[in-house]
Amino acid sequence: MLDPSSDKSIYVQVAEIIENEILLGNLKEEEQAPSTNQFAKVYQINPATAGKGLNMLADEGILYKKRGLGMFVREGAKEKIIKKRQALFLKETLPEVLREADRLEITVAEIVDYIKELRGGV
Amino acid sequence: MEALKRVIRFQNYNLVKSLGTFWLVVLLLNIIASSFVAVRGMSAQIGPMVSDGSYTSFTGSNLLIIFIFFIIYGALMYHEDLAMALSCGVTRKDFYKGAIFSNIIVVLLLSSVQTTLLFIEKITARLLGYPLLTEFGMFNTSTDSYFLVAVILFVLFLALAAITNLIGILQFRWGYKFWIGFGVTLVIILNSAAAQPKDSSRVAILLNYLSNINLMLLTGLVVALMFFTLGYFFIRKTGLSK
Amino acid sequence: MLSISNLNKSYGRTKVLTDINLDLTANKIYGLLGRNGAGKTTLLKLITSQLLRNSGEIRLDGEEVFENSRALERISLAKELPSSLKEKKAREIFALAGLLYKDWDEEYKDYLVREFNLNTKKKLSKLSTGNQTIVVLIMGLASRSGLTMFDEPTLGLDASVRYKFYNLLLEDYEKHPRTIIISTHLIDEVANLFEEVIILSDQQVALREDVNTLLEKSFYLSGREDLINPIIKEKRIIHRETFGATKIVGIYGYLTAEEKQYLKAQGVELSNIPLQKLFVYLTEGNKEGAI
Repeated sequence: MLDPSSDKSIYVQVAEIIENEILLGNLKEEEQAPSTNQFAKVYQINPATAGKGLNMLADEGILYKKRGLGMFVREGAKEKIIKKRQALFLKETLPEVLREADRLEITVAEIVDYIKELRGGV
Repeated sequence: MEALKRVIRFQNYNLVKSLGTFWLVVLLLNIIASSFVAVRGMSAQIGPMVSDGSYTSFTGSNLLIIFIFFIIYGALMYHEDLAMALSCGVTRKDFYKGAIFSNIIVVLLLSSVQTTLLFIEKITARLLGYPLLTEFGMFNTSTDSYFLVAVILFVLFLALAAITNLIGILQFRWGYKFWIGFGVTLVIILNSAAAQPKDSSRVAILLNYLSNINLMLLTGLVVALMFFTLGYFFIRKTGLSK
Repeated sequence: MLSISNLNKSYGRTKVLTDINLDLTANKIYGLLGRNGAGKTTLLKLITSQLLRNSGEIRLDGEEVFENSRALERISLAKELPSSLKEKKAREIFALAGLLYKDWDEEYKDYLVREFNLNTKKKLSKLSTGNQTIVVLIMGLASRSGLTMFDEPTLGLDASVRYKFYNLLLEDYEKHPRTIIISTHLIDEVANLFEEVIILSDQQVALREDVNTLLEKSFYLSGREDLINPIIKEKRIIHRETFGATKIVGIYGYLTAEEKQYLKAQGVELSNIPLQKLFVYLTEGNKEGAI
């Protein structure tokens, strides 16, 4: 669901909803993405805002426009999202985790051990 | 023009219903009052009528009810209709044009129906056998033609409508404050009129004036024109508060 | 579409609007925000010419609206009805509105009456506050005016009816695009309906912005005061809190890449201000709060 109290713009949240659908496999390549108006209705947001989110994904090459039909998932979209999210994970999420680990005086070795444990000692 | 037509349709939305009810009630009163006379004779003086002692008219008493009708009509035109119209994007100019048009329609309907009733009573009075009052100052139903009486009543009602129209506007603009002002002005005028020495020649001039049909009609029209114009002056700058 | 210039309005000696300038584009949904008494209703009533202004111009597609039926017949304002109409039945009100509104859609009105489950045989005064509001909402929606304005459209409505209204509004907006202005002091739910917001505060337009850029232009900075101060000196500060040694400052305005870098390097935390908080701060004016 959309979170109006989030510090992320609604249109960014719209884009993330679609990305998540693609990542989860609910929305497959060459399938039609929800329309602006569907978004507007289901999430009760301004159609222009929903459109901005969809256009952002089109600009990133995740969706593409079919004239008169709407937006569709581009081939390789999932790949693209994964790459984007990986970069985000490595650049922002992980450093944040490490900063927090520093504050809590957890060493990198300890973290690695714990991850191994979580993953069943791979 | 389209906008004006919409306003006129709006202003006359309830016309048939309200005028229908009005005449139904008035007619009923006339019939009841005359039937008492028919059954019990002239001594049974029940219901609205006008009488000078020896001559009586039942439909003649409608004039007073019509007067009250105009006061209410003028008040509602602004209190309800203007409030609604301004809420729905009608210009004051269109509303006022429509209001004058609607007033004229109502005046036309009231004056023609009332004239008809006055003339019908000439027949019913003969049938029921009571002496009919036919002299109403401005006209006489036994000597004047139907058409002339209708014209006189039309002009009289029009002047009346113009005055009550202005009252409606002033009341819309100033609410109860208007009535205070109205009362004060009335008292002052009456007092100053009472302070004037009674001058019989002046009364004679007035009577003489009233007997001149053309002058009287002209006066009525001038009064109507004056008050309708004055009304626009006030409505032009009226805002819709609560 | 609608352009307002140098608009002034006062009631007696009390100024309500001072030099309002606004230009609205067609077919967008605008939020008109401001605290109670900020002049929202007055502004809307001036646009519909229900009130007389002291000075200024209001034009609809270039035409002055005052006493101009060609402009006014394209504008509707859904607002609590004058008290003199409260003794009329809801269906009478609809019939009259249908006669007056040029683009009125009778079928759509009937559809809305069913959707809202409104008893139109009742007099307005006999309806609950919520149902009286519904009458007004139906008038606004069914007017289908090119510029449709709603003044506090959620007055007395419970949550389910409010969401019904948002749905119907968006549904109709999709089918019949038009310019919509919604005035409200309750922003929580409606914020996402807007494409742009206009905030009235201190008799003036305090802000007018695309909802989506609002967030990108507003930041919380939290960190030591001496580190924050050099950056915020030139910024519009909309919120200030002190939390122990840490200072939290809300600013409105873009930060340059260098500024962001500087802040990050100094360990100042930087985050966007959520919409709702932003509205609260902006409508409160520059009031400073401290914990």
